[in-house]
Amino acid sequence: MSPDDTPSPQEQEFDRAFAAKLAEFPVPADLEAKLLALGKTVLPAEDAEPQLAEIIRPSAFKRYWPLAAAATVALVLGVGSLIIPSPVEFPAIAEQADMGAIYRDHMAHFANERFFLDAMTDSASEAQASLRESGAPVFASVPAGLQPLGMMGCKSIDWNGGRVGLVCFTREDGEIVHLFIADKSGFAEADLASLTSLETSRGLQTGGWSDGEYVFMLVGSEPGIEVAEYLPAV
Amino acid sequence: MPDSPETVTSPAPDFDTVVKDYYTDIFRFAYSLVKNEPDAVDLTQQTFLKFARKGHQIKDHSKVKSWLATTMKREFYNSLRREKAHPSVEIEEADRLDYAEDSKAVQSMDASLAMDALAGIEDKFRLPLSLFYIQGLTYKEIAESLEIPIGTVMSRLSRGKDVLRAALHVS
Repeated sequence: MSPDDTPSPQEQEFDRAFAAKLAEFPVPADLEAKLLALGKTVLPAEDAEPQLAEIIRPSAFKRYWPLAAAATVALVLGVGSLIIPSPVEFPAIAEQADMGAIYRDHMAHFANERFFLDAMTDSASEAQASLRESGAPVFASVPAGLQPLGMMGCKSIDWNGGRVGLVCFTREDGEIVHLFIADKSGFAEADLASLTSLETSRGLQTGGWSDGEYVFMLVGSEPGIEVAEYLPAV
Repeated sequence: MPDSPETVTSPAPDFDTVVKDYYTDIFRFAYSLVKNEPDAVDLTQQTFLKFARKGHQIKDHSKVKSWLATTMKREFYNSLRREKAHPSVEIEEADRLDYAEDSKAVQSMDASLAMDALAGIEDKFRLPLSLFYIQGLTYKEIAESLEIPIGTVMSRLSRGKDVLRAALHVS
């Protein structure tokens, strides 16, 4: 087979023969029973987050949900300003700065702060619509490495004179992985090379990549949350 | 290629149905990755455990098979240090081999020898070949699972088959 044409009949015959031979490879007799038993002992992860209009720092949602509820009550009572987190402010950006490094640092800074999500949703299309509506960059489809995770919600962030999209994903253990999406036009080509390295920034593991017109950055929600497995395969 | 299980359509398949439809292929895929039965069983269980917890989030039920394969691949990379020595095989030698002869040889060989030959080649070729031969995924599904372009899938399958055929001759 070559990339340009279909396999020859002889090659297809070999394919069939080899696939059939592999299908003869024995499977442990008790494996099916083990797996079926597994399904009876495991409950699906919760997929229905509380329907709050706003939410506190997503990386600690489970631990902070009472605070989020309190914020809702406080809003009703007119004392919301005492609880609602202030907008996250970023450090100044020096001229001639490596924007790849700045992006990494600032997004890790943001992930460490408390903030509200613009939309709580587990739907990629709803997150896309929300981010597009606010003028923030957004993926065309959920990056493959993140597809096994649940989606929690999204937020549009003001950064460096433009917008950055944030989509929060939930892991099986309840921890959060942040995906930041920035417009590539704000980065020099030379600054993109360092994005792909895994680095700890502000105590959080970070790693990024660029694709098409966007620059992506993954940031864990807590020290020790590794993001390597969610990065695109090299 | 092996017959694919029926395309999964709405309503969402229950756990038992997914296990019954896919566990044999998933186990064989696991074996091709880890090369021994206990680890392959563990990897299979880990994959279905993830499905038990997160399978309800799969919106397109026709993707269950590739979701399982992708999840297994990720679990494999997460849990194992995989840089083991692989037998080097002269690809050029395979070019001179005859597909018809190889097909006959494969038909008469033991399944474990075929599996060992597949399991012994380097990841770059083994993963797409396993997804192709064991999981029966299309080029497009393999590309999505491995997160590589479809052209790369085709070239790795092409070169991988040469390596595989040479390995079959060695074994």
